[in-house]
Amino acid sequence: MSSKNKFWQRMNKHGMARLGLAILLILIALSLLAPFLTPYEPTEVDLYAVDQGPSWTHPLGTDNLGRDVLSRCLYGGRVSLSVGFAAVGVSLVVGILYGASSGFVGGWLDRILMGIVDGLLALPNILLVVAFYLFLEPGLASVVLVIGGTSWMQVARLVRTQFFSLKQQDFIQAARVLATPNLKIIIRHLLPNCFVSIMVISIINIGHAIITESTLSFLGLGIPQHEPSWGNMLMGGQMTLLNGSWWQTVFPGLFIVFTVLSINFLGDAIRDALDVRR
Amino acid sequence: MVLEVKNLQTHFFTPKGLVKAVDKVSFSLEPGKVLGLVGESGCGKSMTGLSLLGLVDPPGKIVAGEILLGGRNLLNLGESDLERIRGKEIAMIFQDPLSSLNPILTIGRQITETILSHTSMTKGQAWEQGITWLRRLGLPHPEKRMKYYPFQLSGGMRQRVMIATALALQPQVLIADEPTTALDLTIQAQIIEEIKLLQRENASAIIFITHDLGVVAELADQVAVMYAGSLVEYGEVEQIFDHPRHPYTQALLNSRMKLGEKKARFIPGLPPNLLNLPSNQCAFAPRCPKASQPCWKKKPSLIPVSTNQQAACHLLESQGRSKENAVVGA
Amino acid sequence: MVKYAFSRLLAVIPILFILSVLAFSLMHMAHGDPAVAMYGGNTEKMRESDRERIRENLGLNQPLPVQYFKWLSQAVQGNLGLSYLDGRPVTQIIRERIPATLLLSFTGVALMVILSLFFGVVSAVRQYSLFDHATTVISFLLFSIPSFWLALVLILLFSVQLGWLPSAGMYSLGKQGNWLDLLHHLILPALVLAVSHLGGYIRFLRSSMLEVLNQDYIKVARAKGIPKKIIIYIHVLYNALLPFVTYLGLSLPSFFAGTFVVEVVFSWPGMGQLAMDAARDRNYSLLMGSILFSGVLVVCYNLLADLICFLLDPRIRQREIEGHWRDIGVQ
Repeated sequence: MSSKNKFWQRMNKHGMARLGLAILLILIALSLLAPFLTPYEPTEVDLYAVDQGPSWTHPLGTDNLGRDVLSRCLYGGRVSLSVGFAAVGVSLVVGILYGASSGFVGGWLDRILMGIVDGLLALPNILLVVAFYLFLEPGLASVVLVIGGTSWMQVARLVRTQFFSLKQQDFIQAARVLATPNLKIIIRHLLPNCFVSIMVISIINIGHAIITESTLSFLGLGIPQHEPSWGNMLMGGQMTLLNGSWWQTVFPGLFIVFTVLSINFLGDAIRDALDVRR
Repeated sequence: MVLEVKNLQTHFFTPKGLVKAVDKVSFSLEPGKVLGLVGESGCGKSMTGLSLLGLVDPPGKIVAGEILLGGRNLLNLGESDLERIRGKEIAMIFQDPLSSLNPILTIGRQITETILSHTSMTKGQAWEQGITWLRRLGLPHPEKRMKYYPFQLSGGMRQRVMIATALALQPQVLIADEPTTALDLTIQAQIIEEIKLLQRENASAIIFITHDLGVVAELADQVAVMYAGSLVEYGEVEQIFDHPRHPYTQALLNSRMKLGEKKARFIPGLPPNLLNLPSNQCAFAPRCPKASQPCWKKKPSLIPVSTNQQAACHLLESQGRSKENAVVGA
Repeated sequence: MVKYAFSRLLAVIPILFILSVLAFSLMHMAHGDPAVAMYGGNTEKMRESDRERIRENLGLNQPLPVQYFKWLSQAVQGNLGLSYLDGRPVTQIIRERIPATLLLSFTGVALMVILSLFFGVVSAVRQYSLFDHATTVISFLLFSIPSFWLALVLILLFSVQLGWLPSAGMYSLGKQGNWLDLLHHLILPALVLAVSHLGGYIRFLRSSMLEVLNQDYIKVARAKGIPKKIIIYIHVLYNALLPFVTYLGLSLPSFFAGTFVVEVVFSWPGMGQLAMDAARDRNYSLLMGSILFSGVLVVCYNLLADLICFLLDPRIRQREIEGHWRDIGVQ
């Protein structure tokens, strides 16, 4: 059996992976199909239906402006999910460039670059995110940039370590002897070898990005309240919490939990499947 | 007789199938004698040793047989009883002295913990014991060494620490699982000398597991040859070395190079995969130069072929004891 | 050991240096003119000359590197400038807030370590049992829950519905200094902090323990007839703790991030809340000081973790004492 077949066999055996994939796909589908699944607009204000608990007309209740929680959750999924994926994309680009340069060139450049990474990693992530955010205009793009811009360090470290160890190996020396241009060496030989570990880390990071976005929005620094995201819904939820309006807090949170959980299942299963192969 | 093993069977129940790691193995041990257990890697000799101590982990399980230590069947004992026996009446030395010692505890600690677990000595007394043993094994400055960590000692010293730990309570049976394989040749010789010395002093019975026939020749009184989980030949060491009857034993002895020879003779083929090994044929048949019809039909069992010698081969059944068939290939 | 601590301290200085540069550059590139922030309300009425005056006073007109070195030289002397908003020295404000953060984070870490030790050890020893599977599922779950949401849910349950525990602050009104009251307020935030980070640690400890359990020397210990309990705690756990402590040290920054968020949700008067408020108010000097300080705190915690490893692992001690590397085959 080819190794690729074995990989899928192991993945499929993994009940968690299937469950995770299923949940994730369902959630993505729900967000994409949002307009068809609910009669309400996420921004539709109905001052006659403020702070209502779950009912037949509003299955997940309404928030402090009478907006339907279910539709806000579904539309909010679009925001949170896209932020998650996009932010990881940004972190991959930055991280790979940074780590590749550092790992490939080595020497004092590497030491400085990695020193900066260590310094950045010493700071609590939230502080970095918040500080970064102050640079930028509030909004979706900024959130993506900020989250991506503070989570590239792990990727960079990984790539750099891989490059370092791969550089010594024979096939790289061979390429050098054949006078292969450096860029080609990087792209054709070094990067593909890092692919596996990068992929595992990226999947887990998507979950982290979603949580970070929700934290940021919760603190009032992320997506502005008009456009729903799971995080800013929770910010609103906190204000009415003491009145007992639990649905505004519990439901968006559950969406986050299930999304991140399914991503983690998936990521873990992939890591297992690839690990054993080695 | 200090130890008697009857029809020991240790099987591994893996998702891919059944592995009969130890398949109906029987032997006995007299006090003060050395039994050499030989065979290729993966033939089940280490697993036999572990089975004697009851250290078989899932998916493995001892499914049948008797292990009689001083008359008591060890397989009937519970875990806490076994814990009392391990280290005190049966002890084991393992192959790789570096990985066999806990890297973050001092060797003194590791030697004395055996003593303290099984006797009512005080810490100080146990420590003294440890020092005495290290001195006996020829370690210089034993008082200082007791406080050392494993990584501070050389391979030979580490193995001596293992021996000290094993013999500290003067067990009736010592199982040595390839104790010299991981060491340099010169150290090997020393260790073997020390084992011989201690064995004479303590009158422990030793089961010496190895794939090195030379060591067996030097050390053992009896030899048991294992192949694919079963015994194929068993008897006194001189008998077997001079007149090996089983084709596998003959091939093993043949494959030792003599001075002046240029080519190595090895046994063609590979050792069988123990997974789902067919039980209705002789396991050695695929590689046996003398294999004939009955060999593929039924698995041979051990029969006496001469005084103090048993072998499991269909070819010998027909010959019986009368004919002295000394076939030691060229 | 003193020599080791000292050498670790020296290694840490470059990181601190970089930290300070980062904190400084972040602040000076951010949006919003601190001069405007300082002026307070009615910024339309501010005249250009006022703005210039404030900028002059704050030294904002000089070239950046100069500003940096001035700031740095002050910082190492303990002067982190004045808070733009209320004019009080930043160092003093931070100092007031630190005890609360330390209390919360220490309690959180302690609670978390205890819980992860319990679950990690038991699930490793009873691998594949129901307990093990349940623990795995729970750790995954915990890993996926945002800490602030957990906080909100627990507040909902314990404060709003059951009324057992307070939902905000460190003390109830008028009960300042009352130990019991403090404990009462500490329970929820510490619990949230501990539980929300538990997932990763349990899994790590479990796999670390399993790795040790498979080592040869454990088999040897069993062959020596050492009682199972001793094997588990002294041989296995001790060895498994070493990578665990290292991992703890490495993930401390994220733990601190969690502390900050929990502080905000529970209105706990610590550095986290301070930093968040400072960010919102564009109070740059305060924010800069907070960032720098958090970094320093993390580095200190890391040092502590290193020292603990040093004490626990004789191999590290030996390496440092003899000043050269030994080849360790195992672990």
